[in-house]
Amino acid sequence: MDKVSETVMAAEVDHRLMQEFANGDPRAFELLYQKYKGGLYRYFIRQIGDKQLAEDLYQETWARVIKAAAGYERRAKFTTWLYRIAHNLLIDHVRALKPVELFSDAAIEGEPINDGQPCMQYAPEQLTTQGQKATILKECIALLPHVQKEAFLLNMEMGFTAVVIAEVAGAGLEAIKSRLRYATQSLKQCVEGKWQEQHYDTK
Amino acid sequence: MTQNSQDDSVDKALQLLYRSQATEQPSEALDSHILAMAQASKIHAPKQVSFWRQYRWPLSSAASVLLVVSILLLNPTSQDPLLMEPAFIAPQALESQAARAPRVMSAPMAAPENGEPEIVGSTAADSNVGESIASDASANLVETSKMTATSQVSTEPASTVNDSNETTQRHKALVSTEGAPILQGKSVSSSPTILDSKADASNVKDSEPSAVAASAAETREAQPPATLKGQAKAVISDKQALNHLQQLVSTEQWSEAMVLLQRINQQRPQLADKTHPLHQKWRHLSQQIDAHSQP
Repeated sequence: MDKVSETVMAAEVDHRLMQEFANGDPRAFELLYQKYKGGLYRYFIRQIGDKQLAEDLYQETWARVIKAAAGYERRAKFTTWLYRIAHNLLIDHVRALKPVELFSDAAIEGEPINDGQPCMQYAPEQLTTQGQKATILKECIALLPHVQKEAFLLNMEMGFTAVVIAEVAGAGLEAIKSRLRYATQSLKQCVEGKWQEQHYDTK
Repeated sequence: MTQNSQDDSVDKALQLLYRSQATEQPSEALDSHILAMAQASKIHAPKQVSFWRQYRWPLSSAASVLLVVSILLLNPTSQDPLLMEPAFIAPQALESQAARAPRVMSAPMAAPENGEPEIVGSTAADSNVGESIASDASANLVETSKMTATSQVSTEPASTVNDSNETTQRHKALVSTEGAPILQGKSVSSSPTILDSKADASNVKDSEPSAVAASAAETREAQPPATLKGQAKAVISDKQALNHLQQLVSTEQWSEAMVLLQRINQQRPQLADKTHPLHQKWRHLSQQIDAHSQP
């Protein structure tokens, strides 16, 4: 079975579960929740420095899903709908909480991320090379501009294509492609740079 | 091409790195709280709407239409017998007439000294049946007030203009339809002074069913012509026929009187019977007409 068929099947399952939940079956919601809780949680955690605020938004997102279940109609894939709710909540709170302090939205797309910040302290000898690079990547993701970060996270967590990300973020397709491209390049440079830096420092 | 494959490998490497450290999960408490919200949510399956409730508007509309059609089909002439009832017709006719001449209804009951009833608002479009009532009433008035048949006093509705011509036209119509006047699309008119007078009241009370039927037909006359189709012809009594004849004689319309007398003789041979209560009147009028018809 190819990837497209798997995606279609998954979308059908999600839709059926949502309908069952709308018909009063909470077990269907639990299945949906277990399926998507991790990705959605990381979507908020990685974008917001404040863990409590991230958890509030995460909870609010699911609350809206529960509330909207009675009138749920299949206009889009469930995941698209879910992350659209999350995106809107995030934008609302970012606007309310002075986003400049939380995100590096002001950064120009394509501009290399500032890797002059100190890396997370860890004991290199206790980590494998892959583990070390993963930790560096996590740091570098945090340094991405918000719009690039969101596009990258949606792509990594959910496997969303640029088209779906554009639908979730309410942006143009080309802009999303550009964000993904810049995010990838920036992260590659950041990870390589930090890795070499750490390796050099260790030596 | 090489660049793309290199990017893909970089993306895959990034994806592997990302997945290896993407392990954050919401706390158990948060999970429990959200699942509890889902459990507590009052989402119920939509109730199965019954067939009758789902299609209540089309069904009620169809039932209403069916009911109306059934009533119309089962009772096509239900109104006619009702309208033919004397108790229903007489007041209705009176009201109709009263509405047409309110000023006259309030006129004094006593006849004017000159013998000409004061009539205001009488229309020239008097109908035959209304005329028959008026004529009958006028005859009663004549009888009760001991007026002579030759006098010009008549409670016949007389318009202020062309009274004689109008009367002539009416009597022509009467003659042509005597015995079975076919209803025509004329508007209802009244004999206002007659209606006001006691004689009229007694006339209405004592009026024969045939006259009432004629009055009812008169009432229906105001309806569109389509409704007149199939209606029964009005029946005029012997007394009314003689009253018409007497009016013709009193107005010296001898030709019309002669035609009417011939028709009366054909259709009402019982008047020739000496025991008939109207025999004397019929004979008197016949003699008068014969006297004027001979050259």
